[in-house]
Amino acid sequence: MDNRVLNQMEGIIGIRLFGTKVEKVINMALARGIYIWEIKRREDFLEFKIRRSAYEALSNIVSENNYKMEIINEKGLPFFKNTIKRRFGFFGGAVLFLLAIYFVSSFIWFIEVVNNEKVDSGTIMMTAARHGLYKGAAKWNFSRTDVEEAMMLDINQLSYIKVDIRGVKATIEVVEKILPGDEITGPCHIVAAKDGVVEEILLLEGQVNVKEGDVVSKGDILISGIVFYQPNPLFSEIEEDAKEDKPVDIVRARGIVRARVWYEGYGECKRTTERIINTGRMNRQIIVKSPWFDFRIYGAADPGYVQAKTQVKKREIESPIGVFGWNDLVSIERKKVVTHLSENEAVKIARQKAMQTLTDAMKQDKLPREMEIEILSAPSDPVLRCKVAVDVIEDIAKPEPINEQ
Amino acid sequence: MDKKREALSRAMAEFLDIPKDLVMDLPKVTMIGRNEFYLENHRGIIEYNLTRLRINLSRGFLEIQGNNLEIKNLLPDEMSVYGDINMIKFFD
Repeated sequence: MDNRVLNQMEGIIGIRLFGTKVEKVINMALARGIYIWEIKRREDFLEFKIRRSAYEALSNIVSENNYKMEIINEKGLPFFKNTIKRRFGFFGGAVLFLLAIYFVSSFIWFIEVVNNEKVDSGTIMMTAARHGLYKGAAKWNFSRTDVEEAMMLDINQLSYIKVDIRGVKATIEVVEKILPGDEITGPCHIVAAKDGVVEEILLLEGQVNVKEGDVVSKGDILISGIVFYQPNPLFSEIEEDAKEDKPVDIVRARGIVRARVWYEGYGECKRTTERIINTGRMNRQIIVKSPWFDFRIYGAADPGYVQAKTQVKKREIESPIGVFGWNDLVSIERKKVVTHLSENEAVKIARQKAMQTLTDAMKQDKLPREMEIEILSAPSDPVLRCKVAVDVIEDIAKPEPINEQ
Repeated sequence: MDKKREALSRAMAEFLDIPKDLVMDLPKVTMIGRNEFYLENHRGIIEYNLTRLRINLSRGFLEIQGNNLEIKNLLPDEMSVYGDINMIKFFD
């Protein structure tokens, strides 16, 4: 029924209508399709509002029927024109400001790369810049999908790229490819990954070079991928031909070789340790500096600390006549604390350190139950040394490709 | 003649299940609380002051009595009235 926005756009005129039986004028205006609203009866007149476009038609009706009317007020956009003309600077500035905001927001000012771990952010941003997405790029100069597609072709390590533009910020979201590991698929030997004593061999393919109880060093071939022909005494005649055709087979050796290997951990601990600690007492001085004199306004000049650490914050301005400013000095009292450890305590710490190095060497958290702990120094020594040794049985098989040349 | 036409219109509206305010040009009144009054299918204003409003209808007229009555909107076939409404009366 009432469209206020449209009324404001067209302009609203408040009318005061004088005379008797003013209902007649209202009905005639209605018959001509004039929209009237907020009709209020006052003492001897009627007040109402009409649209600016209906004013002429209404004034004709009023004058034809010898009524009188006057305009109370005028509102809406057409009547606002004069105000705009009068204060052109203000409104022009506001429009210019909005245009400037719109213009500035049409550029990319921030670029963020997310979800990348292996591929460098710089590389991704450089590639994006090559295809039009860089800091300061106008939004209308590049297409989001084109940049995504071009970047996918350029960076092989990525499986997905999404460019999201929100306001002046572009977020490049990437998903990296998970490449398969360097698994050996061709012919290979199985070599020893560590020194040890062979305990158990399970051969799947290849030719075994070692037997249980052998001591092997790191790099020794355990299962060879080069299989030599071995005649079977039962079928010697039949296999004579096969020997001539194919005397040597090169295969991908496979198998499990479990061996006893040793790990060692070493740790040491001093019986007497010296540490410097803060006592908790501190003194603060604020000194005002000028070219002529220095003046302390806060704190004691000498707090009387035997050992202290002093932090100085300088706020100084150099001028032709000298230095002005102030210094903030904070002295923190410190003292030396000597700790003597008993033999048991020192052994305990040394053993913990040795255990830690052992765990790091074995690359596993759980240590075997049986381990050999050896104290290397005498109780009177100033430093206690401890060694922890452990032997475990583990798979030492490691594939190594055969260089056929 | 008019009565015959009216009877025919009513019968048609009932038979075809069409709203009577459309077929017979009957006034449609809506009230929200006792302060807001909406009327469709009116034929103009007969009399208006702060306590009484008489509205012409296709058959007879309608009288609203109350205090501080104000015609909020007035269009050729619909209108809304705000105020403290005490009574609404139909006259043939």
